[in-house]
Amino acid sequence: MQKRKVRVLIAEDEEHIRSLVSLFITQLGAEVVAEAGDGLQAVSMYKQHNPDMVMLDINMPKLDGIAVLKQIMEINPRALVVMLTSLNAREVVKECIDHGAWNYILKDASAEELFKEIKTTWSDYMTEISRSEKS
Amino acid sequence: MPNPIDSSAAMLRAQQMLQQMRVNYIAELPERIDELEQLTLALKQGDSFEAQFEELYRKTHSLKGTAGTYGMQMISTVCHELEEALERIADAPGKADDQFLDRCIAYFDLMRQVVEGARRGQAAFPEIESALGAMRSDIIGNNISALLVEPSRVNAALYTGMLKGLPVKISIVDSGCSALEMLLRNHFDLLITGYETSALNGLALIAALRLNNGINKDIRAILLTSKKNLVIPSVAQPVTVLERINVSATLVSEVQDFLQKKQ
Repeated sequence: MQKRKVRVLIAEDEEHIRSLVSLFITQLGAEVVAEAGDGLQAVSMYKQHNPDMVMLDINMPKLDGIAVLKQIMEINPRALVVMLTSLNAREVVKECIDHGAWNYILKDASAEELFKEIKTTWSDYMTEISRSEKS
Repeated sequence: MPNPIDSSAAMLRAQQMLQQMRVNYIAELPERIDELEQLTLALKQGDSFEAQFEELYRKTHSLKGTAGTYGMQMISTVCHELEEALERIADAPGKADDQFLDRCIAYFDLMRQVVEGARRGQAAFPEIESALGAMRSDIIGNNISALLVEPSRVNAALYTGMLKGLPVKISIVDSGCSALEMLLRNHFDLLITGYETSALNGLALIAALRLNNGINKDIRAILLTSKKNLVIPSVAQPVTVLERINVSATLVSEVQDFLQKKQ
C-alpha cells in the first residue's frame, strides 16, 4: 500500500526562510501544500488545506503567529503546530507552547543547523504519529 | 500513516540547492538594504511613526535572521546594532533626528561594504568589526549592554531591579547554552551569569567565550554563585566572582566600577 506524504503548511513572511524550510521539508519526504506570507493568509490556508503540520513564524505582518496559533487551535484543537522563532523570542515561545504549539525551531541558525532542527522535529513527529496509531 | 522520513542524502541534495539560494540571497541584499534605508529616512517625516517604525524594526529583525541563516553573519551583526539603535527611539518620534539618521546610514553603508566583500569572496570582515566597535563606543557613551544569564525568574527580577537606574541595557536568558548562542552572534559589554545555570554552567560559558576568537572574547564577566571557594580555571579568567548571599551589596558597585572604567 502506498503511504501518503505528510502535508505541511509553511507560514513565514520572509521568503528566503520560507524557501529554505520548504526545501528541507520536501527533502525529508513531505509535501508542502501551501505557503503563507502573512498571518491572515495562514489562517485562510489552514482552513482550505487542513494540513498535517503547520510551520508557523511568530513575527508576521497582519496577524502575528500567536494570534494565528490561537485561531488554528480553535479550528482544530489537535492541530500540530511548530513555531519558527529567533533566539531572543524564547519568552514568546513559552507562551506559544502554553497555547498548544507542539514544538519550536530556531530559524536564525545557519542553514545546516536549521536543517538538523527540522530533521529532529520531523523524527519526533513521526515517532509521535506511530505511537498514537499503535495506541 | 504518513511516509517515514527518507533523510539519507537529503542534506546533500539540500546543500546543492542551498548553494544557489545563497547566491540569489546575496544578489538581493542591496535591494533590501535600500528598502531599510528608505524606511529609516521616512521616520523623520513623522507621519504614522508607529506603523513605519514597526515595519522597519520587523524588516531589520528579519534581515538579521535570514543573513545568519544564509551565512552572512556580519550583516546579521550590523542589523543587531541597528536594532539596538532603533530600540532607543522606539517611544519617541522626535528622537529620529539627523544624528540618528546619520548613524543608521553609516550602518547601511557598512552592510553594503559587506555585500561587496562577499561578492569578491571575502569571508572575514575585521574592518567592519572595528568600524562597528568605534560606532558602539560613540553611540553608547556611558550606556552599556549586559547579558544576564539566570534560570530563576525571581533572581533575574531581583538583579535587574538592583541595576535599575544605572545606564545598563539588560537582556536576560535562562540557560548557559542560550547565552552562548547569543554571545557568539551579538556584541555585549558585560556578562552577568549565575554559576548554576542549566545546559552549560557559568564558568564553562565564560571559558567558551575566552577560547572562541569571537566578538565577546574579552567581555567583562561577573559570576554569581552560592559556592564558597570556587576554583576558577585560568581559561575562564578574568572573571569577578560574587557570592549570591552578598550580591545586593556587591553587584551594583561592580557594575558601577565597570562603567567608570569604561568612560
